[in-house]
Amino acid sequence: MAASQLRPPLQTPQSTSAPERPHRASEVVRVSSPAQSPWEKRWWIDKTAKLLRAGEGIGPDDDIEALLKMSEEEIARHFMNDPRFGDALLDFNMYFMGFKADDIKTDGAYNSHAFDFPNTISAAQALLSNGDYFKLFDLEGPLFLAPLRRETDPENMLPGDAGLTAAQLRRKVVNELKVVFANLGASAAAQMSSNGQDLCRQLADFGARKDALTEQVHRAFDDAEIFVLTRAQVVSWPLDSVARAAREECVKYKPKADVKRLAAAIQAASEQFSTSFEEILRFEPEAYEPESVLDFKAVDLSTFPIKDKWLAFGYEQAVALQNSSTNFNRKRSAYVLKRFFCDDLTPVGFEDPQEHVAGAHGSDTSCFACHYKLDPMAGFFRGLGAQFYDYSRERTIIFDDLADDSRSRYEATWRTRKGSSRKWNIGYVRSPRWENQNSYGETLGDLSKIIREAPEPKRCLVKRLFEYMTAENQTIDGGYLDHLTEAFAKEAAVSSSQAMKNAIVRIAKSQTYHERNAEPQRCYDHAPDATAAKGPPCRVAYILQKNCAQCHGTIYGGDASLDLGAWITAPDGKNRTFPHLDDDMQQRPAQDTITRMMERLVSTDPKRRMPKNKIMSSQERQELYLWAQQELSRIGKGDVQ
Amino acid sequence: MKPLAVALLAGVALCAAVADGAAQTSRFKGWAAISKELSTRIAPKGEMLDLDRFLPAADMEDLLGRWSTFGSEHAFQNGLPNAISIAIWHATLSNFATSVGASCSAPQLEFHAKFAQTLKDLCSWPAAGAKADALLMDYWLAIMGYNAPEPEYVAWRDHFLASYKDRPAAETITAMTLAITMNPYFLLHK
Repeated sequence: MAASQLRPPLQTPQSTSAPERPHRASEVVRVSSPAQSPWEKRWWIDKTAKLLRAGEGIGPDDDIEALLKMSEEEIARHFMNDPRFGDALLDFNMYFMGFKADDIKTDGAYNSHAFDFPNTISAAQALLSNGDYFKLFDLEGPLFLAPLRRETDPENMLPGDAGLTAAQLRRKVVNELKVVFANLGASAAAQMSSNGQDLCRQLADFGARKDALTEQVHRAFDDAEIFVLTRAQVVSWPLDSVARAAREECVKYKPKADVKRLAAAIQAASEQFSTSFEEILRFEPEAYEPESVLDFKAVDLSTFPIKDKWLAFGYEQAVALQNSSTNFNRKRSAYVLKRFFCDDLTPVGFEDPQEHVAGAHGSDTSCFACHYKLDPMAGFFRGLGAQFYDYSRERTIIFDDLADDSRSRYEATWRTRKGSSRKWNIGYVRSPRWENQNSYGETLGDLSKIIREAPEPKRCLVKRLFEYMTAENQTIDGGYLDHLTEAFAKEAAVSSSQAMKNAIVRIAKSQTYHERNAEPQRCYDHAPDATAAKGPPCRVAYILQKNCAQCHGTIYGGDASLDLGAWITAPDGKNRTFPHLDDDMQQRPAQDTITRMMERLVSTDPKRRMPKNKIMSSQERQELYLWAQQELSRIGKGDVQ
Repeated sequence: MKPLAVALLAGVALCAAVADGAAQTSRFKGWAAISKELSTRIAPKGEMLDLDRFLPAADMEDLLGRWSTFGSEHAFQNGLPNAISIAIWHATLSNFATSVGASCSAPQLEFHAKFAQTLKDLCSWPAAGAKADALLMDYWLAIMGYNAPEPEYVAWRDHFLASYKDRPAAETITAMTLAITMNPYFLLHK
């Protein structure tokens, strides 16, 4: 045990706050794997097996000796051909969506959670068959229903249900409603030559029992299944369509109801109900128990009353991402920005808009720092109410807090002012000042297209992959991330599946991945063209080089006598800072320089805001600001670097 | 007292491993991941060991690190080692180790044939054959996998060859198993 308490010597090239030390370029820019002892290679193989086989490392049935003879790339690709790779992919996709689970299987069967995120399944299936992995970015698509529940819920059973299995109960509740429709149909047929008033009385009674009839069906299903039944309107549509026909025909001023029309409505509702449940009952666990991700079966949506694409936000997201009459879908918007754009909405200021906006938070600059991008993104969800239910065809929208509002009044929040070239102020806004930098749209289909085409989500995907394969809090050099992203985007233009597999291989071969005890604050990998230098901490070095160093690359002759490409010992002898001279050509204290940088980052004044007259992505601005904040806090506490 | 001392040392090592900061790399892998790792190594192919029965109480796995809802998303919860979680890990893995040790006389779990053979050979401890380096290495790798660097194996082996050289098989194997499973390289995300 003593050995486990010994910390191995650090062999790392650069720290976010590392003191000056001799530095070898070959270490800094290394992107290939280092030489390994057989023991260490076994560790790498086991780690990679766990990663690519959904937690299952090397076991007694694996031929480790044969694997040892293969190169790292060959080993990684070997594991990617294993059937368990599908589960690993699904797990990563769920991580990307922010809903990773401990395990997607229990005793060999997939948990219902694994079926809840259709885009993660579509993407995993696509990758396994060399298809379009970017289905991960599609917010509308197929519906993957989990095998229906095996156990009944005694609390919801009626006295006559005793002793029934879950499957028998499902058949029973479906037949019960079929009988109701059949009886109404028989009444309509019998009253075809009458004035229909008896049928109208029956239909009035039927209309009054709508909620009870719905509950009667729901008692055979669990919450996640009821979520699907509700969104797909497989119970409500047939009931509502009959009730609607009755409302129109059975009115006092009409001496004779159109029984033929009522009979047709009853028949159509009955058929729709039967067709929908015929499809749903294809997912009985006796007949449907997928053994791999490729076996996941999509529902034939044409059998449902709502034949549109299925919204990718599933049951768990519907519970987690609730809206209200006052939050205007901002929770959903923040989720999209965080998960697809890696934008954590750190309030670090914004470009002063050329035209000031009114409304919620529009005039409060500290709020607007987030809301300029949060609110336009939220507009994509304007037609979706409680549990993401689609209210876009209805007059009223109901929210998760059960409040309701006129849909047209609610949607007016996102309408542009008269004279605008756009109808809606909806989109992915990078800059409130420079509209040409933004991507606007109206529908969730437009948002999916924006996510597919914008560079940020690809970079975000690669960043999440790096986190997933190393550690969530492992620092990654911006230049290395861009290097990985560039290769990924280039390959994805040909095949997103191959690009993803290649990205996995690249990270598996990285220095960070090879570190047994990686330091979270250190960057182990850098872009091939990175220059080894006594530069700023790796967390921000690349951001500074990309956005700031053109004007602040030297203390002589440059703007503000500031060099953001170097990192030297501060005048106090304890801390480190950027070369930054005051009016007397004396080095400024670290605290002073960092404070000035933060002021320039958050300023809304175009004359002061940095970088001047240049767009800096909000992700990079946030990262730089947070680093500066932490650096300032560290200096304030007296912690030595 | 020896297994307790070993486990205490492991607990201290766990705390030391996170002392440098609350890094994710120093967080527990979680009960689900550990269960899967162990099952892959010592259970029959494609089967999971029933390890939940070794937990001191139902739902305690929540305190050993797991992905669960935090805010509007999932995050890894209870991953940072603390006195409570180490106590639960110790109690759980002690139960597991005792079960493995007791398997020398009567099998307590369904094992993979290869591991069952390794265990059977080790059950002849303190006979000389059970102290062969190859057998000890097999046992170490069967439980630890390749999570730990080689010096960890050497330290473990030497400790048991010296301190347990005349102890009965069940007691020795229990202590060996506990020492491996309480090792930070086994428990922590590396």
